[in-house]
Amino acid sequence: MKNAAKKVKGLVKGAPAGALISAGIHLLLFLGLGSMVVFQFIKTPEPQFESPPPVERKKMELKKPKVKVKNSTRPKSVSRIMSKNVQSMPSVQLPELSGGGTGLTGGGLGGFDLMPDLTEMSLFGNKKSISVGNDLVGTFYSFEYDRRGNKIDCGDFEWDAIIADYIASGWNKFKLAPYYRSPQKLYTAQVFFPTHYSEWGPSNFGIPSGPDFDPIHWIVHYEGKIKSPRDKPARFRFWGMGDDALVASISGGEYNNTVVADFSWDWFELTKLRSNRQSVPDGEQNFSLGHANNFVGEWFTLDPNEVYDIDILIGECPGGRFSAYLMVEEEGVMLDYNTEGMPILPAFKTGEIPDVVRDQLKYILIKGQANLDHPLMFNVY
Amino acid sequence: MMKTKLINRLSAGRCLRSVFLFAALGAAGCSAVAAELRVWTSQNGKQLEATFERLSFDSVKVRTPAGVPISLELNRLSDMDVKYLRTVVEPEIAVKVKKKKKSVPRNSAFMHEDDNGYEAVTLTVDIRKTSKFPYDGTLRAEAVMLGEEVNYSDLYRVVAKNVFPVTLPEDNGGQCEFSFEGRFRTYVEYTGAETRGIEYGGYLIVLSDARGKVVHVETDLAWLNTPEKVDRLRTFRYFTFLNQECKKRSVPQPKRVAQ
Repeated sequence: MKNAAKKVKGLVKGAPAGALISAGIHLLLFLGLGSMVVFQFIKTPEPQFESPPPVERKKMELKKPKVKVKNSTRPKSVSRIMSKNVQSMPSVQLPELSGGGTGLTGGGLGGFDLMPDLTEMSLFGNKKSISVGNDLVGTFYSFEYDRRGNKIDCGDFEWDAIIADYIASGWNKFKLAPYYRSPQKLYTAQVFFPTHYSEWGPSNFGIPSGPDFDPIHWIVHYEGKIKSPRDKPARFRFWGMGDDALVASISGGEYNNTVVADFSWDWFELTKLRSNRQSVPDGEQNFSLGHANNFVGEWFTLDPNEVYDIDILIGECPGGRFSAYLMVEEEGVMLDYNTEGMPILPAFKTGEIPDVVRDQLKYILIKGQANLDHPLMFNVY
Repeated sequence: MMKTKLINRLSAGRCLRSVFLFAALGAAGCSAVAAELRVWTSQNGKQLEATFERLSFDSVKVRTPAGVPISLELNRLSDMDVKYLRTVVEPEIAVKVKKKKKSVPRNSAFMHEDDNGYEAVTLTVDIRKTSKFPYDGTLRAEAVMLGEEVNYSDLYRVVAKNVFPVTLPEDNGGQCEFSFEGRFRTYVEYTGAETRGIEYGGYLIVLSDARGKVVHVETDLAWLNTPEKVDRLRTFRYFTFLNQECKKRSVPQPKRVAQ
């Protein structure tokens, strides 16, 4: 190996001179041609864009689309709710007519009174105040939609948690700011909804009850003021049942957002009152109310000189049947009993229930489960 | 006029009992006119104090305070008198009512199996003036729609009640149209004990003039066959329950079932 290495090291004496000449010529050619290539490459002009010559084209003839559009075709509904008919107006505006109508049989008949559309007076309330100052004002929220009306999904337990948080915050409306709120408020004197199908519930708030709205995970918050009808301190307590939510709290005097009734469905924990709620009044049996059993709230005392704020929340979680019976018992007052032995309690109210609403309530109320005609009323004015 | 109406109704195959309704309507209608004493003026300035009685072809029949009947030529009366006549001469009227039913759309994901949903019934009322003399007054149309309670005998409910102004301008051919809607629904009560709700029951249209005088009655309710019944029905508000005698009935309530 050593000998071989020595052989290739340095110029080899005695090698042919042609080889050296050839190497020199190749070296010169390499340098010369290489410099030419670089020189020519540098001198090559950059390509310039030239627009192609214009092409003559025939004008296209415009044709009407052949697709026929039916007049009745409506755009596909998107998952967004829009309230409708926010302001109520009587459907009829008549010019002044002399006389009130004499009827077919001559005198006596008053004919038609020009009154607001009574069909708008629903169980949820009227679009206009029915008893100024005494109304419970209801605001509708849906947790299935965001504040702009776009669909969002809300689970049953989220619905529960949102309500619990809202009540615990002292009815702080910022808690519900992310969710849809109907601009239509409704005015009512009572919060009393015998069992019926929840599918048709929120339509009175201007919410479409058809396929454009999912009638679940909604609440209505009623706010108002109450005053004791007695001239000395008196004790009251609520009775009732809610499917799915029915909570009432009062403020004023010794009370500060004090929950006095939580008659919500068993699955939910909307208030702390749930754990110590009396489900069996005075050791008696549970009484049936609608499609479930009634519950009894806490006693509270109303001072005759005090005006109290009252907040009542009702709601529906998964859909199906809906009810919210809110009745009131006054301590020491004797009442009639129904065939089940349950006292027939007056529906809680802050004003007179309009006849048309009373009849609608009676139509879906099992006889003897509440008294809609009782004079007990908590009106301020 | 009443006879014509009656013949029309009978030829349409409607109930014979409507005879009583329209006979009574005619009698009541005449007695309801309030005679207004006014000054009539001819085109040449002559004046006469008298009350209007009726229009007969091209003459106006009036009566003086002394009870003397006088006939005035229509084409010689002043413009003011003609204007007055165009508001008091009762028009002859033909009424057609078209009924249209449709289901109220529902959210199929949340429909309850026991709830059949609402059916909306829309009645389109077409009113046409058939008499030649123009009518510039405004009539009042009272429109009532009834539902019939299922599973109850002789029990109806007022499901819609509206009032519409009716004008019959000559430039519109003396025609006016309005429509109103009622909603009907049947469902199985949550107790499971009964099917409840209402189905379409019928309608009543009453047209009256500015004085309250009834000028036309239209109905498809065979049992609404006396003026007294019509008058009573007109007094009922929305969601009133009544029977075929047009007497108010108590609200039917769900049956209790033992648990």
